[in-house]
Order: sequence, then C-alpha cells, then structure tokens
Amino acid sequence: MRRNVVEWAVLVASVAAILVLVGVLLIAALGESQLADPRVELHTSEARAGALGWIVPATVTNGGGEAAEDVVLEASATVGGQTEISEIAVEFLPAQTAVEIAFAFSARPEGALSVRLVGFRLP
Amino acid sequence: MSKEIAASLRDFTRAGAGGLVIGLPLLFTMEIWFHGSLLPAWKLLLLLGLAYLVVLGYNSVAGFRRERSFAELAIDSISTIGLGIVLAFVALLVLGRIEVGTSLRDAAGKVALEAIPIAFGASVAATQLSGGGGGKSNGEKGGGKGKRSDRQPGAFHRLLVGAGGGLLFALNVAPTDEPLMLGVEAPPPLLLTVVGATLLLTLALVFYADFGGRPVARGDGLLDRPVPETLAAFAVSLAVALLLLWSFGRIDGAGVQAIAGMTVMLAVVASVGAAVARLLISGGKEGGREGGREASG
Repeated sequence: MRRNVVEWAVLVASVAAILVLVGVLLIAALGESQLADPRVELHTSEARAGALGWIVPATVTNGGGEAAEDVVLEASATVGGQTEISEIAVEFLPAQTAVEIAFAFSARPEGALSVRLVGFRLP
Repeated sequence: MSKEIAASLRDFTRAGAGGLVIGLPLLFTMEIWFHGSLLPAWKLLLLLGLAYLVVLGYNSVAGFRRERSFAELAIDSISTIGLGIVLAFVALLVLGRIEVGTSLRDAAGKVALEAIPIAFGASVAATQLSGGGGGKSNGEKGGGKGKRSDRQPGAFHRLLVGAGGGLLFALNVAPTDEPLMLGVEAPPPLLLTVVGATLLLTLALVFYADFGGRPVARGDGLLDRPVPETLAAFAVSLAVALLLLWSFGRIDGAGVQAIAGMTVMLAVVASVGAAVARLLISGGKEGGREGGREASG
C-alpha cells in the first residue's frame, strides 16, 4: 500500500518511540535484580533559618533497581548541647529516582549532621 | 494540501483524540503511575506485547484501512501503539507526572502502562467513531474494495476483540484495591451468584438489549450462538482478569479462594468490556449495512 508523507511521519515517530521505550525497559529488566538502595545527600550549604527552626535540604535517591515504599530516614545533630533527631518518611521512591526532602531542627545544629536509613517497605 | 494528506491528518487526529478520551480515566489514576514504577520491566514489556496483539487483532477486524495485507496490518498496528506511547508521554508531561528529575525507568514504566488504553482508544476511534468523510477516505486509500468489511467477524475475532475490550475495562480497576477487597470478602455462594449475574448481563447486553451493533446469526459454528459465545467470552474475561491480577502483583502470596474471588470480581468488569467490544465490531444487520456503505464509498 502506498503511504503518504503523514503516514510515513507517524510510522517513523512510532517506531522511534517504541524502540526507545522497549530499549529503556529492556535495560531496566536486566538491572532489576538489584534491590532498592536509598541514599541521602545533604545540602548543608543551602541550609537556612525558617520560621520554626533550621531547615537542611537534602536529596534522597534510590540507586537500586527496584522501588521502595515508606522510606524512613533519620537525621541527628547536636542542638544546644542536646542530640536532636529529625525523621522524615518518603512514601514512594522509584528506582533511580531522586526526591527532594528537608530535615528540620529547632535551631542551627552545632557540628555535622549524621543521617541513617531507618527502613523501607518492599513493594 | 492534497485531499489524501488532509484525510490522513483527519484520521490520525481522530485516532489521537479518541485515544485520549479512552485513556483519560487512567491518566488520572494514581495507582497506574505507581504501578508503572513498581512493576518489573519484563511485565511491562509483556503487557505492551499483549496490547500490540490486541490492537493487531482489532485492526484486522476493523482497522484504519479496510484492504490490507498482514504486513500492512502489522505496520498500521505499530503506528497505533506508537501513537499511544507518544500521547501517553505528552499527557504525563503535561500532568507533571514526568519531570526533569524523573528517571528514565520510571518514565518508561508510566508511559508503557498509560499507552495501552490510549492505543486501544486510538484503534477504536479510527474505525468505529469514523465520520462519513473518514470512511470515504479510508475506502479511497485502501482501494475501496471493502473486502474485509463485507465479511462478518468470525468467532475467534470476536473473542479476540472481546479480550481487548475486557483488558481495557479491567485495566481501569485492576491496580486498585477494590477487586481485592470484593474478591477476598465474597463467600463462594456469592461468587457463583456473581458469575450467573455476569453471564445474564452480558448475554442480554450483546444479544437482547438491541444496541446498534446487535449481532444476528453469523455462522453455523458452535461459538456463533448466543449462549456458547457468552460462555466463551466469560472464560476469556476470566483469563484477562487473572492476567491483570498477576501483572499487578495481586495474586502474589494469595490463597486459591482469594485468587478465585478476585478473578471473578474483576472478570465482571472484563466481561462488560468484552461485551461492549463485541457489540462494536459485531456484524449483524447494522454492521452489514455499514460495511456495504464503506465498500461503496
């Protein structure tokens, strides 16, 4: 059957879209044996004072090949001589995805913050 | 712009618009976005492959153009799936479900799932919702012989298209918690009642409710009669329901009774989808007249 320019354009775009989608999913399928692996990067240089305390932005990423649900993270720091803990839960963290979060403390911490992964649920 | 190009633009616009109309509920369904990320990539590829087969089957009964070889049919079906993928990607971008920070895997998963109903919708819109102009252009492009449209779809084709309709309808609820809740909570007598009610409903829908495409006697085969066709369509719907429940991880770790309950409950939705799809492509008096009109156009 003879195809006109519109049909050719749609066909070429369709083949390209299918190839990209299938390619990405095939590559993902090969790497999905890796379990979820949440990681946190603190952005202390962007920390700022807020109305209710000291806010420290951070990025949580999932370096694994599977998604994680209910990822709970805990940051601890010394504030006014006392250890203060800030906890945050990320509801859904797909594989290879970054989510912006922020830890908060009652005031500017003294010294460095430490972050630990409390746990997460496997979907 | 030549008439042929204008007709093609109109065809694809109608296919795209119809795809979005059908795909809209799932574009606004949170569970689909989540499952696009959660489902293993190989399951998404399998679902896409099945969607392609369904689109191919549907287009073979009533596709973009009436007169086509199998290779042309396969190529047109690629265009339908591709259209679904591109539209799903654009819609997810516009809805903010795909952003700069979204990983390729996450975006691909969402697009793959959302593309399925859009492709089905595009396929249906390209044919069943065609206006007079579209039908004429199709006839012109295809040589206007209308060989396919003169033929009543056989039992296998009706069941294949029914599977597509069932897949489309059931896809709307399979990722949600409701089939799980309904299925797990239903005692066996209630499940049997649901099966009976579904069979009666679909039998009435397709054969006795007198919708536009109501089929009449189409052949001498066993499956060409109302009750056997209804039973066969229900069996197909059960298979579609089970496939979807498995795809969405609903049967992982579930007991046999729970699986049976969920499958039956989801099969209610799949059966109605299969009935509507069979009505859409059914021949009967109306389909025969339409076929004749297209053939002459």
